[in-house]
Amino acid sequence: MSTQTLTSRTTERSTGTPPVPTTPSRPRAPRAWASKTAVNAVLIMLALYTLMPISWLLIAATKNRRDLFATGGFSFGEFNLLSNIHEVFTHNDGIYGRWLLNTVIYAVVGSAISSLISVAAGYAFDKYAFAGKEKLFGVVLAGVLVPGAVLTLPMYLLASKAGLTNTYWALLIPSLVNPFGVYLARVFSEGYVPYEVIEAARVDGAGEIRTFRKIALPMLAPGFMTLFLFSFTASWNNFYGALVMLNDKNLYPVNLGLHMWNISTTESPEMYSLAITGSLIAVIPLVIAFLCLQRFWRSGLTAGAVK
Amino acid sequence: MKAQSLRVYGAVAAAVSLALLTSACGSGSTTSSAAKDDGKPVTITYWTWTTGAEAAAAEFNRTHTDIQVQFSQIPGGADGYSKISNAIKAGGAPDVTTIEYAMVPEFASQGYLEDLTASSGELVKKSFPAGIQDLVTFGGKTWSVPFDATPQVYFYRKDLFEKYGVSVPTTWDEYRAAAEKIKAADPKARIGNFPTDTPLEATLSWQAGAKWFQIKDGAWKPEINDAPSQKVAAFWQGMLKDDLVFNYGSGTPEENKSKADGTSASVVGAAWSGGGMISTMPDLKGKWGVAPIPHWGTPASGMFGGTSFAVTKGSKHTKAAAEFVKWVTTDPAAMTARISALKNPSTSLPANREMAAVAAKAFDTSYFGGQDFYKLTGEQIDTIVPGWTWGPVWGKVNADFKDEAAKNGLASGLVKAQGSAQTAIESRGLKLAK
Repeated sequence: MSTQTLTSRTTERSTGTPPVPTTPSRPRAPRAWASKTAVNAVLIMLALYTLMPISWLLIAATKNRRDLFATGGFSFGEFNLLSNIHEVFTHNDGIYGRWLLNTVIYAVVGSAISSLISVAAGYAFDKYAFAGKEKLFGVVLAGVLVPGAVLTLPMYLLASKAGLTNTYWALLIPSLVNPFGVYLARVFSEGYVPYEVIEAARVDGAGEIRTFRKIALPMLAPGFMTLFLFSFTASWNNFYGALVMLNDKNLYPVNLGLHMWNISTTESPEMYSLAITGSLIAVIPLVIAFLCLQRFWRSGLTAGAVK
Repeated sequence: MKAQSLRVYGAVAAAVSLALLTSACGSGSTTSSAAKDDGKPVTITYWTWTTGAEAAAAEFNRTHTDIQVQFSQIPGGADGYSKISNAIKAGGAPDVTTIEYAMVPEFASQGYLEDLTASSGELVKKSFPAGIQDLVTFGGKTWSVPFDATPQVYFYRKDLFEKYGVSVPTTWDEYRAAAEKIKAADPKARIGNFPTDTPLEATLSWQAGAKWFQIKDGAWKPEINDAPSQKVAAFWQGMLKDDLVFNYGSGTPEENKSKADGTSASVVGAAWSGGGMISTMPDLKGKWGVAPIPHWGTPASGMFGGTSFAVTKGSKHTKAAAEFVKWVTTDPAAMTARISALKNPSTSLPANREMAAVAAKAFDTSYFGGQDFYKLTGEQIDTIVPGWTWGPVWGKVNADFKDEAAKNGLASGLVKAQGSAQTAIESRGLKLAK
């Protein structure tokens, strides 16, 4: 991803000169090709570092149990990807499919609602004046400073008192509130939604809700997508919360399910190929989401950078 | 997990944790209730990570009308234990759960377990081998009921031993001699692997007569750096120094590969290790043999892994729970159901003799060349050195030992573990024997 950002940035500056910073303090700028080579070398190293594990996963997912243990990590054995995939989806009455579905519910539904709440709150903080506004916003910012892991146990105890443990709500409700999202949304709202537009809508007789829905929300779309991606990855990776809250394996998200399979390999090593192939399948939706939503992600992150 | 807004949660969390702190100091346990009188069955909850457990629970439900078991599969390992202990603190704990022997003292001393002396004490005395009783009975009370027996056994490649002209070692000195011979014959091959990241060192010390934890006058006395342990550490450190064994992490691809490609000629394991071999190394069928573990002069064994059944503190159905525990640990029907659900063969050895007989009957011995696997592993139960207990701070001690041993060697690991045991016992408010 970073490589693409870099190339697109440099090509945008259609000045024709390579982007080598020259400062008076350094009389001799290093040769352009040298710095380019250095940068590219580092980037290639990083790309390799990132791609090694995933290529290992790809190769390992094609092996049967025997080859998994008998052949080297980056060499192919007999090609068994399809039977491995079949085994993943049929093991334990197809529980894996259920896990994927659960993850989609937790990640997609949760993130969509959470992003909507954040955008609405950020918009309100930006566009409305009300008593105690900045104090309230300070409280939201304080929420950003509290690491999530610290809250897992208190959340569990609360959920336990409310009788929500071991339900979908146990994971969905906590994921709806996102102080950092509110903060970002306020910034987006400042950057994307000019006050004049709101004024114009009001003059034309639109109510506040309608103004937000019809005018502000479409303008905030890139920001919304950015928040959605943030949320989505956080939910997708919300492992500890699920571990603590859930004990019915039919409610597990895919990461917890895979972890359970992976742990059981000490007792039954044959679960290795299930865990490996399952991990590969679980990565695919994330890759797709990133590829599709990348442009939002990028434009969202740089919102307000250039007025 | 995303950060929540502080407003509500901070205050409530503080209140809840305060309430917890105060209640943890003085909550009396609920007395047990038998099956209800109104004819409705009692429902108990049961959490475990063990394979085949779901089928066993279903069989119990099919054959019992007064008690029904609600089964949940949870992850094993450290995550599973933190999950169980959190649930106990929050009051949402299962009635019955599985706990590995090494964690029983820890859970019992933290007040997480119901005292089973009255309901299961007799059962443990009557139905289980003496060497295993010590693991679930200490401080004069029974805390859990044994499920499997895990005396150490020695797996070796019959074909390779023949090729290198090595006979099966019966003592550790012979083991070292065999290791030297194998390495000399083939510089790429080793007699086996010694992972420093498992409780193997503890089990081998146990075999040598060490007692890492004891209870003296109601106080815990850790002696992790005693003479037998030092002897064992010195032996394996020598093996590692002279490059006579591999030093791969347990369960790593390297370790698995070395077994599969024959560069590791033998494995120091337990009965349950066999199941994984059968399913991951089908090509080596008939080539593996199993023998008693090498010893220091007289046949002896420690226990490597293993699980027991406990009833968690605050369970409202302790009587029903104890009944289910009895069934699942001693009734042959439980074993039959468990085995029939397994997709791959298990070589786990039940601690109870009747259960072991069922497992033995179901087991296909052809992988081990027709050797009576269950008879041999069963005989090793008698060599388990009695009097070992895992101590109330095993999780911490084990982690510290592993780190230190990996960095500075086994002997240093023992010193570190002893210090960490003393500190942890005191910091948990338990009595430390002076």
